[in-house]
Amino acid sequence: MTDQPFAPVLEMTAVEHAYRRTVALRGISLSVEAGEIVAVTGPSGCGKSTLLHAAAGIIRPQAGSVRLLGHELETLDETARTQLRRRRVGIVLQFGQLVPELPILENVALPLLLDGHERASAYTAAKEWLDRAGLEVAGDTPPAELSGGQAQRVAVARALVTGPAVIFADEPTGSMDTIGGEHLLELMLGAARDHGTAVVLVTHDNVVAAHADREVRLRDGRVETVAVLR
Amino acid sequence: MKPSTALLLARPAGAADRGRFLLIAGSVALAGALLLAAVHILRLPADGASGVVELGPLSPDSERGRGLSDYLTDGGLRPGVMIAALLLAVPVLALTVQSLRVGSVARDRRMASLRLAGATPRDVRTVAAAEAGGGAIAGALLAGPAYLLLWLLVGILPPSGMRMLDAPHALDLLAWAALVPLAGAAGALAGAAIQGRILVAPLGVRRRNRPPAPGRASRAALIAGIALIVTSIAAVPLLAPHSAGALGLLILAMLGLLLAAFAGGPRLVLASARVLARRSGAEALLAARRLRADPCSAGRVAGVLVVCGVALGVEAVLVAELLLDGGLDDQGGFYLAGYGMAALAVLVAAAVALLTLLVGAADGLLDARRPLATLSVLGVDEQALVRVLARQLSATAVPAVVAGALAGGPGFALLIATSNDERALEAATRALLPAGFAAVAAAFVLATAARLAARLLRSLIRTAIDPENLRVA
Repeated sequence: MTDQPFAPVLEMTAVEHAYRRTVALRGISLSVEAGEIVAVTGPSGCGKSTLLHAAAGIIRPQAGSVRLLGHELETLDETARTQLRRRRVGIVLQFGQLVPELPILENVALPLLLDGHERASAYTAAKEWLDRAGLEVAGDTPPAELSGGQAQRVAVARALVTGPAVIFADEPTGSMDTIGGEHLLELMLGAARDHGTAVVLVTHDNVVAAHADREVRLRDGRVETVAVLR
Repeated sequence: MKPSTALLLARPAGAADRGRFLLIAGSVALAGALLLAAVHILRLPADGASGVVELGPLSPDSERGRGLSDYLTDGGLRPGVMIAALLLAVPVLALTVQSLRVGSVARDRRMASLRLAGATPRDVRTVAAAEAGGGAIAGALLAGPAYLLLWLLVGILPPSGMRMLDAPHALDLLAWAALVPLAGAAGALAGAAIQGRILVAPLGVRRRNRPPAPGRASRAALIAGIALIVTSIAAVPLLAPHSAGALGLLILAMLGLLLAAFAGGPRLVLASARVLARRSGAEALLAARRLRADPCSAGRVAGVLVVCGVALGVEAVLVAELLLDGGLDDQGGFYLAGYGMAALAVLVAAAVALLTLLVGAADGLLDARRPLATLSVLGVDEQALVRVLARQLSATAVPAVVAGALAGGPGFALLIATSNDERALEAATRALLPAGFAAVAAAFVLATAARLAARLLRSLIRTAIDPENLRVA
């Protein structure tokens, strides 16, 4: 799958989505430029996570269009969307969601292995990202032996290992203390800025949102305000 | 996905994975050994000599085929032994299918994590196929040693004249070699099919296509199975006794019985659940709800137990006829010993079926930790849950074996009477007494076994109702 030439990495237009009778998104439009860091904020239940899941192609919104890296997501089937995510998108969720049965080195190497890379080269890249993540544990450590912060660092390393064009992070520091959260943001946003990777960061924490270039605040499934922070 | 990646992701890592792998490999090994034995018996020439390859001190006798039981050397009885070996493999294979589902909650979580890391739905099915195929291949590889063990148990240890297997033949090696890829392919297909029913999204299981009740396909299979039994049995008297055609019809009837039993099993479980739900008491209601939630898993076991019940009913009628016809002279003793062995085989099959139920129940307890912990908070204690489980197990097992015995005994009597030009209805009615006796005895044994099995799971129940599960399970 080849990316189409694009200026914004993400363009969402009039996106609507509901879970049974609960409407989560009401005509959301959002554009994210290459290398831009956008924080999506708002109170609980305002649709932040749904917006992120729709933007990443994890769910199919019921109306509107999502253009990710030049691809209209509604025209792609499940496999094509997964392949796009695997190669060009990094995802970090609140609890890491590591594969519990795989040691952390293999967890980080997983997107490369799934994409058909040789095991040796995948492991080398994974080791490099684990080192950059500053984890002081061996690569064969099972996820169950990690603290919440360590697991999140592994998840960030896994999101970055493919050199993605965009990272979607849903409350990545939500299960961490303040200092741990700061370290994680430094790792993720530092790497993103170094590589020109765009980041869409869902958070309810104003301190976390302050790291972004732009803050999009949602309320009741709609964009309430947009603030340029830097 | 590269095969090496599929194997990496399919290797058993957690305790549930290892348990599943061992159950799959163990059950396939046992079923494989029984199938190899059936194929070996099928190849025996008419005089009982098998052209064995001498294995030095391992050979049971220096002379070919010597020491084999008359049940094998008699061309008329040998098919019965072969069919018994095949039928014994059926409950073991049902255990394999149940084993494929063990630890499904942990596996669903792993598959969702894989999806989040970039695995496509096809990748997930490939991993599931590699996992099940790997277990089946390991089991098929173990089937060779298991066959040798079987030979030791029934072909070497029994005294001369009572042996049920002779020394392995070079062709057994070929059969074993053929079994390995076949079992691997069947395991992989089954693993992929089971995973294919579950729609795993990156955020978790989105849909589990588990039919709540048996549908049209199972009704068609039930009707086809019954039709196959009736037409095969009706055609048997038209052919010469002990001819290849008659044996073929008997095998067709057996296939029909298996088809009808497995298609009817979930219906029987649902009917049993309906009866249970009408009784007063929360325990009966809970047991009924648990059965209704997944009638198919319990239905497979019920299918096996229907077949066991049919075998018991037929045996009861044969024993009754034998005792009425002249008692225990030499020939009577010979047949009675044969019926005893067949009863032992039925007992083994029923025990394997109960083990399958136990595996399913244990897995169900692990799956339902949060609701069970909720029940515990609401005041349902451990003892009550043990009783719920015992009811659930006996409501699956007892009606199946009773239905099988009550259908099998009179049905068999009807067949014999028809082929001998006797009064069919009278014979069938007369058969109800021994078949009923067998049904009551089997029901008592199974109900007791179900209570014991539920007690075996007590520690698992204790773990499941831990209030901590309300937070994390």
